[in-house]
Amino acid sequence: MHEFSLLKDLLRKIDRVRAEQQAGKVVSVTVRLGALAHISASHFREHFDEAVRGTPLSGARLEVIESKDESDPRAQEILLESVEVEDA
Amino acid sequence: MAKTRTIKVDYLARVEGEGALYLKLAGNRVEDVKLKIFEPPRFFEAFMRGRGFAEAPDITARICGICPVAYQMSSVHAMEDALGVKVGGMLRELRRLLYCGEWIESHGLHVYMLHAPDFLGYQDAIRLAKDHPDEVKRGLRLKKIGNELVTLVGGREIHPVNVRVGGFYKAPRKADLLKLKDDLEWARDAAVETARWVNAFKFPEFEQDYEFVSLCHPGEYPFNEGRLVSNRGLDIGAEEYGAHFQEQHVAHSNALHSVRTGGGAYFVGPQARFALNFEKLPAICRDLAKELGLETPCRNPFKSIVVRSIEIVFAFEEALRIVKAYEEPDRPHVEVAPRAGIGHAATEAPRGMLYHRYELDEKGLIVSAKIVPPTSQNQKQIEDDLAKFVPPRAHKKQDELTWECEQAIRNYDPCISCATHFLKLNVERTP
Amino acid sequence: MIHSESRLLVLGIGNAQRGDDAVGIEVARRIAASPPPHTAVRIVFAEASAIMESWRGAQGVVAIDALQSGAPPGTIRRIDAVAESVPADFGGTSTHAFGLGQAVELARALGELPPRLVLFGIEGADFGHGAPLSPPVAGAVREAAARVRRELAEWAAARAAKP
Repeated sequence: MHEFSLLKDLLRKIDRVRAEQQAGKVVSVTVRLGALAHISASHFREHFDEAVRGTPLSGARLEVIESKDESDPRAQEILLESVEVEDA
Repeated sequence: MAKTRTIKVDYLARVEGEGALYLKLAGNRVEDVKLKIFEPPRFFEAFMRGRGFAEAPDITARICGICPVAYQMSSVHAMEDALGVKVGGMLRELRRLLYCGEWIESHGLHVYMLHAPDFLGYQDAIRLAKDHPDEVKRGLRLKKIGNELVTLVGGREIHPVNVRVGGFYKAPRKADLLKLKDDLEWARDAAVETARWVNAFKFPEFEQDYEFVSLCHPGEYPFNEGRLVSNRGLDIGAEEYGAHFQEQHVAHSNALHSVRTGGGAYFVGPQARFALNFEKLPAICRDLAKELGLETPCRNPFKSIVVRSIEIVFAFEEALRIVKAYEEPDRPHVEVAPRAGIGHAATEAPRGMLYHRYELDEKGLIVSAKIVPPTSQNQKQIEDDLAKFVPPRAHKKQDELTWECEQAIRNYDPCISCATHFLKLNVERTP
Repeated sequence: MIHSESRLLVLGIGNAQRGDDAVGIEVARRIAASPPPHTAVRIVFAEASAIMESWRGAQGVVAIDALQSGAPPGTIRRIDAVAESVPADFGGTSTHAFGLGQAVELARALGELPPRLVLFGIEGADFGHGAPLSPPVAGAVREAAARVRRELAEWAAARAAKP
């Protein structure tokens, strides 16, 4: 559904972080899924693998933190928590 | 191995996708239909915890820029339910008047700016305005008069600040309300013309057997009060909402769907109100429905534009009645003292029933809040409708199908400011 | 309605609750703190018909809104809306299909554009509920406000130069 544009946005954000930090290769990415985020972790992982194929992010590890708290203010959101990079 | 470091991400954190409706077709068969709605109330539910009961109307008014009054009304009624307060007389009338203003604004916007262009084959209101400037100007003027009502009673146009638990901070002056009389009379007639105009549009054949749910009050077309009823035998007080409606998790997604417990999708909004309360409409509206040949209940969601237009007539007629009979109340509100309790309320937002529930502690601080907006209540119904609407049209070209589906979604007047990125559609086809 | 004394209007558009969507409101507040002569400042929710209503009667309008165009956050874009057409999706997140860009074009179609109308769009990064302005966007507020003031000063000068 909107996973394609979701992943596109995520990849763009990761790249912006990398560029701002003048870093090299992205080793891993940590994403937090809210309890009501409209997407499950396994579904998200599938789409991530699909989206990074053939890009410089290919091979990067994806860590997904699943929040269970439905009453959290950001329960519906998908947050990019951190990016692990190799120094250029 | 190269040295790595971890960068915490702050302002870029929120990952957003666009596109809200996903449709998967195998030939002419609909394999999957998913609608994504972002529901800001979830954020506000958490935000309100620990705050005083009196803050609820101001906070909830900020949820939506199109229907702030609805959020305020459901919150004050729920708080009054928890605190054992009853508001009657002119204060009750003023609340109805405020709701009239919001229905006019919201319905006017929807009918003229969002929905009419669909039926006349225009991409948007701008192109409609080039060919039909007089109609568009009429729509803008109608909406503006609704806006003036909200500003006068609510105290401010965007997030009305005059509403409080127990009534209002300040009651409007009788002379100020009477100044609106001429405009309201013009507008009521213009609203009748609007209904005639939209009734001449061409509507796709698409009748569905809905479970309509709306408030029902013995003596009036519903805004603020009444029991929750349906055409399939539901008849409950707002405090029983939790026992009859539930939110289900949707497979492959963590989204929640509102359904009737033990049943399925249900339909809230103008068509539900019209189906369940027709005989409480004033004669001008009932006669108009008859003149237009509009059946009750109206089971074609595309004709919601006609029903919405009749509700605009109702809102102006009701506003006129209240304005003419208005006397300034002795006090703008009744006294409210904090106490522990649980309160529920449902009121009729322009786009449908809006449910609030609050739990308060003995100091009157909010322990928990629950808000179920109309768009999320209709969500499953929209998906179910699309699953039936699409197959006979599946052979159409992508852009044409997309446009028809968007139009079908607009029938429900999904909250455009709450449900961000709403009208984007993705269709995936396999042979 | 614009007070007859205030022929010029600064319009801050957005939703204070949605992160960078508040940037237009922030810029307008800065102007409101010490408004130039004959200038009113208003804040309006991004809904086209409300925007059109708010500038009725004004001789010159500067409207400020957030943008989501993919440019780097904090980028300021200026459009002379009388001279050029405005993309329909110009403006922040709140009402998408029906915001500032639509207001301008609808007003143009109806012959109701203010005589002067300049838009400043500031690219946002985070439109999350309850989020503060993101650093690059907060950093652009001062410059945007200065450009709004320059615009108003130029109009005032042009008016004074007329016989």
